Amino acid sequence: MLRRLAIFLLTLFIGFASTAQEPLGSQNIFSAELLGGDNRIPVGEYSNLVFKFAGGDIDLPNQIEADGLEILQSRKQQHSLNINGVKTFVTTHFYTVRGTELGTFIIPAVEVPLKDATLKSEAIQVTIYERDNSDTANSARTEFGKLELEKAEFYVNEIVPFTMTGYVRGRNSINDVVRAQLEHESFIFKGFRNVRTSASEIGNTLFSEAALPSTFFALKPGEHRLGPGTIAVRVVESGGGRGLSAFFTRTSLKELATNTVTTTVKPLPGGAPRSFTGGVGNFMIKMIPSTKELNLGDPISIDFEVTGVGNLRTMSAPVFSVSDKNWKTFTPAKTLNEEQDSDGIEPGTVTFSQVIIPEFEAAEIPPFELTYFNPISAEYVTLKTDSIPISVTKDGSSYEALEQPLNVSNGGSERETAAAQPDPKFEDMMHIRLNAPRWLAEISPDNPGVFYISMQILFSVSFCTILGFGLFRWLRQLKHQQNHPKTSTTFRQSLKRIPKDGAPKKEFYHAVSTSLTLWKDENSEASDKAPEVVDNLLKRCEDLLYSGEFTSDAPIAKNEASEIHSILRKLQR
Amino acid sequence: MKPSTTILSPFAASFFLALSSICFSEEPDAVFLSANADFESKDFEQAKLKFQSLVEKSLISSELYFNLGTTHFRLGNEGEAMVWMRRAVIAEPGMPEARQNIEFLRIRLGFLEFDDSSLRQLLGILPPAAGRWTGTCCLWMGLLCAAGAVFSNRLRPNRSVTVTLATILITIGVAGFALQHHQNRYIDARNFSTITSSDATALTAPSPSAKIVIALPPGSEVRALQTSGQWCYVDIPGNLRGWIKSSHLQSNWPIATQTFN
Repeated sequence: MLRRLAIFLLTLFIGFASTAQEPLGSQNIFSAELLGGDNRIPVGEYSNLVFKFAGGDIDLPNQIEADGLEILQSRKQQHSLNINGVKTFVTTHFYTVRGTELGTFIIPAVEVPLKDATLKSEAIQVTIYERDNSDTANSARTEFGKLELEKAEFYVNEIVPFTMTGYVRGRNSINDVVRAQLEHESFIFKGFRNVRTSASEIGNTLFSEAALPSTFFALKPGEHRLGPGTIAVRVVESGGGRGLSAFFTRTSLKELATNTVTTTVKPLPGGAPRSFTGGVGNFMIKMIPSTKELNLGDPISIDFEVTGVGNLRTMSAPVFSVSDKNWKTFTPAKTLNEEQDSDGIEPGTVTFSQVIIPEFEAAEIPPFELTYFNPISAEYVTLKTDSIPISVTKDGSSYEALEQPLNVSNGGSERETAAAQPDPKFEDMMHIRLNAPRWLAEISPDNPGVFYISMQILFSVSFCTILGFGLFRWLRQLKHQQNHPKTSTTFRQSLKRIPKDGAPKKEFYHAVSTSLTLWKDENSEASDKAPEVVDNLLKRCEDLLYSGEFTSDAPIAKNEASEIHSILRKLQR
Repeated sequence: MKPSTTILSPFAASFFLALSSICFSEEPDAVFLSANADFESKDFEQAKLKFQSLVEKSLISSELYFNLGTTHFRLGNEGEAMVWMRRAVIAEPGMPEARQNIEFLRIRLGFLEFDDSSLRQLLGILPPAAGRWTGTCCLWMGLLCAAGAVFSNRLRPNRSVTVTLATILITIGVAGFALQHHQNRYIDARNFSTITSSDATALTAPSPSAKIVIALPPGSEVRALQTSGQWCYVDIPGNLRGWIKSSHLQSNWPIATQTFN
């Protein structure tokens, strides 16, 4: 019976042990999965790749190399599952996947060594496709970005407005736009400075949107794929609204990838006139000279105001319509404020300041030319300023004017008055000084000088004299003290040695006599009644001490002792 | 009667001496004007050589430095132009043309400069040895007062006043020396240098492979702290420090003539 029971228990134990071990071994599962279902990702957009490992934790690389794909680890998550009664840890590694080119690519299998075995995930085939513009605004997606150009075909240097918009499902879902990015080596982007937030309905679903308008211009002709751009937004997760709930708003950062747009950049046609300075758009020009009456050699500052819609950044200053060597010209200065720049829709203004100096008695400022390319009519347009009559007079000091600072004006058409504050522009270095130089004495290397040293000597002598006299006097006093040593006891100290009442009279009066003598030594110059009192008391002491009637052994009476003590105390004060 | 050579020789010697002194006094002016003419005819290289020959003779003139700086600018040496403009201002403080050119170069090059604080401006106005003179006078007078208070019987009744006066004077004296120290260290042009090279970078160590602290545009002002071989350890505007090759900078003052060679 016992034997049967032992066999039963042994069988039961083996059975439990085997059931406990079996799921543990079978749960070392390593799998890879691309979230989203159909293994298709729009170009430039992010998707999630997930590696799951059941049975503990494993180390996976931060980046997985794959042609045409960017695969980066984003986070790791762990949780436990109860599988067949066994607690099993499951680790999930999340990766972001983004395709940069169109085509079909393979996410390679990932191998992970584990004890004696090697775990291997399956390779995944991914198709990177271009999202159809109608598909961009897909209400099934919770958040997405959108890139829209004003036109997809344009010329080199032509300003093209565009908008990047981020969409997040829900009302007031976008808390903030953190940054926006759109880059291409063949394009110059103005940057994103304005954000317009609103809401729109896509497929019966309300989306919050943040639009970032901007402009760009292309540097190289050809076909270019622009995008995908990214918009990083803070998405409201909970608590949004007004009042106190706004204070407790919880947000998370999300990067919204936009679609791509294929653009065609056309080169500027050949045969540009000599006065073409790089402007593309539609412009007007205005010329303002600083003065119309001047001496020969005086500079004239001319301000050219170019206004219009187009690319003002690539434009250079207007040039003389006819090359004229009788005018000395300086490098023009360009002033283009960010606020005054054209955005491709609204006109902007750029100012060129040019200094010219007539080297002959000119009757007029010759016309200037500015040629730009008009992308609408696809032709070069030349603007020409009117020639402005001026009066140049030649006088004796005319050429000396070159020595003076250039009369750079603030753009006004009249001469500045003496009281007017000049607005310096410093467009060039000042001319050299032509007069004979003033030679200066050598700047000595900060030597003290004779006067300084003399002063030091004078002060030293004075100080040493005072110090010497003082020391001499002190030494003399010291010597005097050595020759006439003072009693070692002072009046104050001697008072303490006077016996109290009841002591022998001789001893008492002897001590009082000593104290009074010390007082007289210490207060030789005292001028009030005290010396007289002291002398009387001293005489009384001497009479008592040195008269034959004195009985030395008799004790001193209390009232007598207290009387003398009171006198001595007064003397002490 | 033919005068003897012994009588003639003193006259001849004095004549040649006078002539040579006249020539010597006129020569720099002539060279200067000749250099100006070269500049006007746009022969900037020749003008530079002539101006530099005057500088090598240790001649000091704000006009000379100004014209040499302008010539360097025309030759494209913007850092050199800046250092000569600074020297022109040292030779003639407040020279308007040099100041305007410095402003022009400041806008053009965007170089780094130490803050021109109001304290620095005030100390710049003071004579170079003001602190030392104040310090010395006050310290001596303070010591005399203190000695008088200790040793003089006549001053004994007013000892507290004398001691107070001595303390005040000694304090002012110490402050004067502190001012002088500050002037010597932070205001004196001899401590400052200008970057003349267009590719100067301050490094973390005196080695070409060291990491970069900051790239310094030509014309930038630095304060030399220490020199080690070919390298100079400098204070950089913005509270930075770094090592720069000595060949990339020139001291604002005094002018090292060997730099022309």
